[in-house]
Amino acid sequence: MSKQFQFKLVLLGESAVGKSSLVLRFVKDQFDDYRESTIGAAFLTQTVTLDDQTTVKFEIWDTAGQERYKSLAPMYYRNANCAVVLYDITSSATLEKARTWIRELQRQADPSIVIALCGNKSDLAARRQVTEEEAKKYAEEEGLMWAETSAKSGEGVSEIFTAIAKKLPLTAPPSSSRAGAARAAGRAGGVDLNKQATAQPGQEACNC
Amino acid sequence: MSALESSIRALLRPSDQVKVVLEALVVPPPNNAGTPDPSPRSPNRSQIDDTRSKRILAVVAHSDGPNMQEEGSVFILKWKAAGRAFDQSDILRVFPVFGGFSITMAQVRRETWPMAESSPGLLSLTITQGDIQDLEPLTLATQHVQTLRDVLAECKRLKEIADAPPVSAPPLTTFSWLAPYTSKRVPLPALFGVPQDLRVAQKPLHTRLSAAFAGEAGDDFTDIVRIRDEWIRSRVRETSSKGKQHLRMRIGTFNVNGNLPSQDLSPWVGGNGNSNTTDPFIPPLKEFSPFSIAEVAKNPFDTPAPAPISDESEPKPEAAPAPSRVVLGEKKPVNVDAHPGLDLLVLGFQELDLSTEALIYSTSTLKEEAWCTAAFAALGARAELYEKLASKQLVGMLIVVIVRKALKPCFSEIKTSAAGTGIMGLMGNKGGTAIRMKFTPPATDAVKNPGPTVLTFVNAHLAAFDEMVEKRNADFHDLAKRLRFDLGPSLPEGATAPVPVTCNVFESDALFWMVSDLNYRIDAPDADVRTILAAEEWAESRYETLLQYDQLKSAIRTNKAFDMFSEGPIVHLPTYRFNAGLLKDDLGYDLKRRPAWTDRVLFTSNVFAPIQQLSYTGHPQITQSDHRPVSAEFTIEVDLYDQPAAEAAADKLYRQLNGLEDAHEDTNARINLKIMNAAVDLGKVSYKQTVIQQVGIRNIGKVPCAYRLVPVDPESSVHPDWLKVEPMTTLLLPDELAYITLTAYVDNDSASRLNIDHKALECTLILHTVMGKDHFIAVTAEYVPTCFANTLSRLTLLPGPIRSLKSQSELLAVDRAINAPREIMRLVNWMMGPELHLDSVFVSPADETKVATIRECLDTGADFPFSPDPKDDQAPVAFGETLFRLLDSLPEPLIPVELHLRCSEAANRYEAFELLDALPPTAVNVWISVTAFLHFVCQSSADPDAKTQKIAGLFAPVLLRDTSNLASPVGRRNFLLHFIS
Repeated sequence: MSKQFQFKLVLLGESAVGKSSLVLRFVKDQFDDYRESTIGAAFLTQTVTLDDQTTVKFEIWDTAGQERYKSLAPMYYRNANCAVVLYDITSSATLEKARTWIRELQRQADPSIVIALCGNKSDLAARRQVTEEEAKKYAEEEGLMWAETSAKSGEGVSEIFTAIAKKLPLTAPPSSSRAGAARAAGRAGGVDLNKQATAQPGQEACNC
Repeated sequence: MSALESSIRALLRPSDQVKVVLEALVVPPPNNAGTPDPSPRSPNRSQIDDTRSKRILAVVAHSDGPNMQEEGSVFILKWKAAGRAFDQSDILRVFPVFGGFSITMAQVRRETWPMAESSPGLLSLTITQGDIQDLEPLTLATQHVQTLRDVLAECKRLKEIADAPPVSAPPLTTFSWLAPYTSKRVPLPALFGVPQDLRVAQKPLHTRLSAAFAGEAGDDFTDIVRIRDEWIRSRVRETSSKGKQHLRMRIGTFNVNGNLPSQDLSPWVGGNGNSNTTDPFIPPLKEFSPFSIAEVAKNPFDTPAPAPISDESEPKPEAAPAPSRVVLGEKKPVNVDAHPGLDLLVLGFQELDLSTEALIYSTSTLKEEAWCTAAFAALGARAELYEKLASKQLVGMLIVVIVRKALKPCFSEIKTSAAGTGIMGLMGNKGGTAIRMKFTPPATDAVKNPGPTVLTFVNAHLAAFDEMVEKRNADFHDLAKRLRFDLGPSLPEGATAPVPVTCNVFESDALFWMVSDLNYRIDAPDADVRTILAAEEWAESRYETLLQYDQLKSAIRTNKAFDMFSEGPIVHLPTYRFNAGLLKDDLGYDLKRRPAWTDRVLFTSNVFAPIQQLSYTGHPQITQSDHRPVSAEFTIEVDLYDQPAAEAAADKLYRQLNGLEDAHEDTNARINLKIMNAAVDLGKVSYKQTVIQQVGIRNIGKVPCAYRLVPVDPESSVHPDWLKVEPMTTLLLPDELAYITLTAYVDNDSASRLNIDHKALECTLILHTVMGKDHFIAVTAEYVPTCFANTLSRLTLLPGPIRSLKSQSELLAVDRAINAPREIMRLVNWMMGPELHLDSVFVSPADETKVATIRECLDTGADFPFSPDPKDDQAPVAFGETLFRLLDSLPEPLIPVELHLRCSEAANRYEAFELLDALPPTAVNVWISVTAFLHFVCQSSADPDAKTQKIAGLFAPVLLRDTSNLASPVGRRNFLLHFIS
């Protein structure tokens, strides 16, 4: 019997670096050229199957990147097992912002959190402002995972999530967040076709 | 399409299609050896016509959009004649077509089913779905061979699709579309049979949802069901309401102290023979107390009791009454249409029998008969129009319902209950009796089957003695638990034997609680109570003052008991304890017992049965007991709706909404709200000025969607205290546009905080889409500071007008503080101006525009645009009002609370002045200026003594404000009088 794990993942990064697009690519394998800015936080799930048939279910919180909502971010990365901090390779300012997020996570998030630094928009390499070397060096210094991705082309997207899944402690079933438990409970209460047969009116003089 | 097919079509959701419909009969499964079933239930000739064995089989296919794979199911429904509507409860079984599904056809063997003998050509079909545990195979028989072939062909087609899904389709076959047909839901009787518990119905929906905050969605599944049911409940009644009918009732409560009737009860029961009963605003008889004549002459229910100094005119959002509560004082025309006069008379008696034997449960009805006879006699000539509908007695407690004969057929399912809470928690010397009944308005052409309204009446007698207030509160909760009505046996779906159904007193549309002889007392010193009741100078505020100390009011205020109940304003003298002998005061109250309002009528109801109180009064002319009887008149606005139509509407809404529970996760894209303006700037927000803006929300998803606002973390509130958000939760149908109303209103409490350092107000509202994402709504506003609601010491540190203060650092050093707040001094100085006409000050109501202008001038430092003019008495009134409100807005009263006790004990003017030494210097300066001014106002009045009393009554509760009511109200008033008289 294959093992199943569930982890909470949070996406952080400057506004417009492509957090929602990355999730959309990962969860639905889709891409919209014009996405509205996220004002809020979206909850999505996607399951990754590893080579040994272990499945890892990510509960993903995609958060708003705008500075205005920065104070709410801790509510969403609280209890997160992993974080993807995104920057835009065509804007060095976004890497600076990513550094701030990483410092904040190292200071305030769960100490065992797995952090991946992702340079998104690799399809726009012609306008690159952040070199691979620069970002990679920083990631190594801080002990972070690192990759470049393109939500538009899909390049590197599933790879980074799979890499995170492999890096997570798959020894014991993780304590899934309460939100996950509630959602799981919700699902169990959904369609239950099995109940059908017992829901017969007792009065009916029939044997169906 | 056949009529039968159309009926099934109507049952299905738009995405589901009925493919084939077949009428069939149930074939019992063969028993062990396949021999005929010998039991008497064995089918016989007549079974072929027995509708109970008839079934309808429908093959239903579901397809949602071009990319979705078609899925099929076989539905087994109860048989209904063509043209009759189906509802969800008619669906007996559902066999999803996938995996282990199979359907086979065979000739019916005679030996397994005798009926086949008489009906040759019968074919049987057996349906199995092995993948679903507990779903037993089903065998049906039918003569419709061609239709049966169609069924088999369609099932084969659907099975093939299920077995080989097209590559483009999502891999998962969830069959979630079956949820609306199979999932449990609130059965319709719960919507219409037993009303929702009033304790639940009165709590706003958002407070009943699971705990949730940012990043923690809570229990969305339970929440969505609650939001949905509430939405359906209100939507159904809204849309099916065909008007209102008014029911007029009088409730009387009387602790008779063991006596038998010996006096005319007509004032109490509202009899009075030929008196004009169509005007509910005339109290039955005048009270005898010379001091209360003023109150009796003008009925308090006619006009709002004029508060001497009214509050700001802006609506206070927090003061908005719950929709079900009556707005007292607002006289609406009372519709007594076809039934002039009283429809119901409900009388509660206590201490009917004080004998020792009566302590054990007694069944004697002698006393009941005597009191009922007296009540009917008191109705005079109109008595013949009424008859007794029900009664319930438990030892000394009796409740009687008398009904207008013409309306008697409208009352049904009359149930009674009783519970003792006396000695050992069981004896009947204390406790309650209750009557519950259904009122069904007469049928009309528009409403052929009117839905009922449930009315419940409780008559309770709780523990005595002042110090037992906790015990009395506990008794209330105990009674609430133990007073249950037996609604008779019922056979719920799935149960094998009938189970008794009971309900509590709160499961009603309207509940009246005669808390007669609750023995809730007045928590003020005995001498104070008697002084305030008797002394003329207290006449204006006597009830208001004493009711602050009332234990029952306090229990309601602090949610200890009766917290969901309303009570009309009390403007009658306390009803207990009177003494016929020598040991009584001038009003007739027993000298050994502090007078109290021990006989009360409380009420509560849901939005479908709003109650309006018409009168509330004691009857001092009925003197035979140590209590005086109390009566209260009400009208209940009963909703007229057609029950079958409402049930059909509810069923339709359920079908529209079902599937909500299942729409999550992979349907993320389907649940989608769009916030039209996620950033809201409310602009300038000033003290006690309402600013309103709306946020549009549109459901751009394909499924109904509910939202709720959640706080950022468990310790926070959803919104700051200066902002109100409405509605906190609701449900939107696809494409529906709804609005959230944001109301900014800065009251004293918020202002006292915001004045210190909050020019920029901002907050982020978190709108959680149930089963979906969180949206943020950023709200910003600019706070305009005011001199109101600042501490005295802060006002003296202001270098200039408060609006010109740029930052806290500009405040003066403490040693350079000014002597007294310049705002207070400006007001007093203006009013002390030459030859001003001050007679109307603190008497006439002020012009709100002028008050606002004056406050603005105090805040900005601008000159008052009113020059002192002896002919203008309106401007001084506005200045006086502003001064009063400014003093009332101080976070701490001018005289610190810890000095109140000593102040109230000051025996003379000398002692009173001595006490000023204990005050902070600023407070002394303000006190001297204000009291000197008040003294001046009193002395320049035509009747200085009367004016002094009036002003003392007005200002003592403000200058010596004390919400905990520790010091004597009489003493506090006297303290002020030492300075102004």
